[in-house]
Amino acid sequence: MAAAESAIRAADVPATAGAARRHDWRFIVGGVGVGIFVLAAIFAPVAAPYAPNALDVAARLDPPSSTHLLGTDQLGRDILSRLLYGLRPSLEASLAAVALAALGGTVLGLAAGYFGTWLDEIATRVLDLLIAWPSVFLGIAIVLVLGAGESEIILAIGFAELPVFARLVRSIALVNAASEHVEAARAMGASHVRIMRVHILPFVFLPMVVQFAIAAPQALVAEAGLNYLGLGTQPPNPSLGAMVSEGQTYISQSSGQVVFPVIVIALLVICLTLIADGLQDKLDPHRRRVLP
Amino acid sequence: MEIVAGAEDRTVLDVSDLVVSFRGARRAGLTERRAVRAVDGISLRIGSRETLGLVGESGSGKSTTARAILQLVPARSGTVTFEGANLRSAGRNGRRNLRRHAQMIFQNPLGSLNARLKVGSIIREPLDIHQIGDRAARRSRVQELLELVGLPADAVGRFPHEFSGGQQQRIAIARALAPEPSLIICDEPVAALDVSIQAQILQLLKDLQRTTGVSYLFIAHDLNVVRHVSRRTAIMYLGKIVEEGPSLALFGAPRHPYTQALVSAIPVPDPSAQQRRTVLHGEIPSPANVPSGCRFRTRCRYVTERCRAEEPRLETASDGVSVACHFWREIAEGSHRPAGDAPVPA
Amino acid sequence: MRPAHGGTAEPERATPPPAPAGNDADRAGAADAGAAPDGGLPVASLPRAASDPLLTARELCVIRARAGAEDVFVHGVSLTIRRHHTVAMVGESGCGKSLTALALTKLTPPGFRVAAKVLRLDDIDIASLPESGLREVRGRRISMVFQNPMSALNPVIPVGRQIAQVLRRHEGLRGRRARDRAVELLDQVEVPDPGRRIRQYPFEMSGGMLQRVMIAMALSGGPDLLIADEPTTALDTTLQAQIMELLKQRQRDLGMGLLLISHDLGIVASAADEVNVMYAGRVVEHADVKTLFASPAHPYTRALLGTVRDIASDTQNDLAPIPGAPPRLEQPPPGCPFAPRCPLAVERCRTELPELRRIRARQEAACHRAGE
Repeated sequence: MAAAESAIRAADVPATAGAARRHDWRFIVGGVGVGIFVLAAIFAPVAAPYAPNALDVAARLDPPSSTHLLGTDQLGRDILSRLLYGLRPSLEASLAAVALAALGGTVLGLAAGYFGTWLDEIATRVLDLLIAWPSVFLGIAIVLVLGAGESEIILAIGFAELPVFARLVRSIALVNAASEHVEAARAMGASHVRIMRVHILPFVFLPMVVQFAIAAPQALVAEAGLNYLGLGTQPPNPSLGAMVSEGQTYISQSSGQVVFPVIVIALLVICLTLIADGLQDKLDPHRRRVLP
Repeated sequence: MEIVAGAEDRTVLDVSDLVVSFRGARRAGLTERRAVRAVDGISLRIGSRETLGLVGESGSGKSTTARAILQLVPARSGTVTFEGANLRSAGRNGRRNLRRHAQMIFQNPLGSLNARLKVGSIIREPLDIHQIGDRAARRSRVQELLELVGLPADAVGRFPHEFSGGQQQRIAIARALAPEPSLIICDEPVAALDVSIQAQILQLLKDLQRTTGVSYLFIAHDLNVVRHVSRRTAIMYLGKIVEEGPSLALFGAPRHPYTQALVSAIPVPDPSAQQRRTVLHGEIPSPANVPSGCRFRTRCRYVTERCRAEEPRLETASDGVSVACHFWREIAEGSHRPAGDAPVPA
Repeated sequence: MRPAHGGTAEPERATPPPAPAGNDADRAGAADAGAAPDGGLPVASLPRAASDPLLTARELCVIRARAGAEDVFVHGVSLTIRRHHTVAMVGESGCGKSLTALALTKLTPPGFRVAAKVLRLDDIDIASLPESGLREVRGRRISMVFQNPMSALNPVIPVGRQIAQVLRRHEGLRGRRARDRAVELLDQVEVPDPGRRIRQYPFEMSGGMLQRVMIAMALSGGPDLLIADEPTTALDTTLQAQIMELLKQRQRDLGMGLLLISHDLGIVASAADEVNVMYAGRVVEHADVKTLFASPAHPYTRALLGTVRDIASDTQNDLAPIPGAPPRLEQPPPGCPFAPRCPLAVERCRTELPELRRIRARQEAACHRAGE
């Protein structure tokens, strides 16, 4: 047995190299994809060949050509340019709305989970109410109250995504508030603020980041949906969802106006989801995986 | 006659008739919520450089006592006097003083340390909270403490999970010592550790008491450990102290039937020792359902009718041990026979 | 009175050797006569002569494979357990005692594998049994009781139903017969008012009560060998005595072998006949219980006993703890694993791994300097 053991030990080889490499591709592909779109959105004014609202009625509903790489829409506007300019509201919405949800959710969840008692009761009921509404209906309701527009739908999507963040933070806060290290901090005389800052928030951070990555594509799709309904960016300014809505009628003549925005939305969602997937694996390596 | 510690005769902690009660949980079928008295009139005193052991099984209320002393759970009644100040009347200042000069270490070392903080920050936290010294002073104090508890200096930059259980407990001890407390409450500090590490930590606690003069309230269920470190010990049962006094006298000749059962149940590391085990029947009743009269009567071999009717008071024997039992003298003399094995039903 | 540190030689009583003869053969004979002491003991497995080894393990190893390497957690442990006989595995956390116990029925966690030269229960070769065969052995021939009963039981199913599940598996009982048998089992482990208890959920019962339930379930199939892994660690001291008493009583009734895993030398002293001391995945000392406590041969055993006795003594003298900590199993040092902490260590100890060798009758130790 001793001989066998020493043979085993001699074969010692560092084990981690292969494992680490496996996760990388998701971050690379997802990160590069999102990065490209972000850069495209930022540099749209420079990169777009045409002004987004520039009409060219003679060239309406043209297929892709050398002058209009992706073709034109029903008013002769260049689809490629409108795509590039349309990226901005979509990306802004998914980032800003989710950031809003994360911030609001953290405040609410922290208060509810840490202080408990009646504060928790009220907060949970409010959250239950918000969750019960499908986000699209919630968005419509808020827009009806506040009027249509980009900032309004950011608010709407933020509200819709808030409960998930709040519940996440609340459960982490609950667990930690009952833990011994918080009890130790209280015994030492730490103030509530200090306990929340030092002993609870650090445990919230990583799950929040993951939830952010999960919520971002959802927000993107929600934004596209609300724009499709005409509740967001108002014409003539382009937005991915509105382009789909406008192009529906002309789909038999020129499908580019519908197809290209949809492809862009799909790619963005895929890339964001890849990042989320990679993050979740980093956080919980024993998770059941769809992709190996 | 009290056996008092050395030259410094200060009383660090004085607890008088402490009562802690909780509202019991709503149970299916019951509409009223009974008040549960987890601690039902406890009095104890700790002098400086002294260790008081507090022994009891789960459900005895010893951990609740500790938390009530530290004002982590509210007390229904009774007084807690810390360093001469009655905490009820001393207000904010009294409380702040308590938070600084009374500290606690817990049973589960990793649980009591914030896993996301580096060891240096963990140990420094009491100094940060009470704003003791400037940054440089705090940093050097942390180094001083690491050395005091036997940890390497480079521990400051590492995380708790990189250390073993015994080392984690040392980190917790270092943190407790940081604000120069006069009292450290140790709640089962070695129960989760292996025997050889237990010995290390116990010896460390003893050494620290010698060098810093700190007092301990040492809570444990392991009688050997308690006897080893405590000058005096109190035995708790269902929220009351049933026996109390100098440890060696108390464990050498236990008077209360519960203490006798506890002492006889200690497993002896000697196969040929004929252990006359007083095997206690039944289990500790729920604190929501405290037996009338003497709380221990449902498991006591010497029970009589008087035990059901009248609650015994603490009486003090000549060697300084106090007992709460109607018949302790007779039992010790052997003139009070056990009532047979069957316990009296509640 | 407690013995002084190190122990003095005890006058030899008629100590039963690890292979008991005499009384136990008589007991086995009585069982053979057909009167099963407990209603659940299947006729087919009536004990033979009690001195036959029940469980034999030789060179048992537990190994975990990771990419490109293997970690050995248990190195070549050998055990012999007989009926009516209690063998203890003693050691501190990380020494491999629990893994050894799990390895006996190949219950090690995923990623760990068991290798042994011999692993046999009576005439069943466990080492070569497929999973289906192992399932027949587990619970019926070899049963286990664990440390924390609350986490071993399903919290949303009443206790009686969980016992019934075991009974259906091993004895084929259903319905009313299963329930009556469950009540009978609880009665045997001294659970008061068992008819009411079987309808309760685990959270309604105390730790001591739950441990009794676990023992009842483990013994329901009338196993030949019971493995108890830290059965009393989670309980209060007065309950520990009760539970150990119960285990010994049931052992006497059923004629089982008992493998007791514990870190508590006090419990081992009163319950075990034979002791294995483990350190860093190896057995470093193996002796009958009296010899071990009277004249421990391995420096680790001596230091451990010394520490336990110092703490248990009725003085408050300073302790002399063993310095340092046990090695991590993944990076064993060359030579004797205890060498870094051993007061007797010499150069040879650091380079050459000591093997278990006989020190005297009924005592072996893995130390170059034992018996000097």
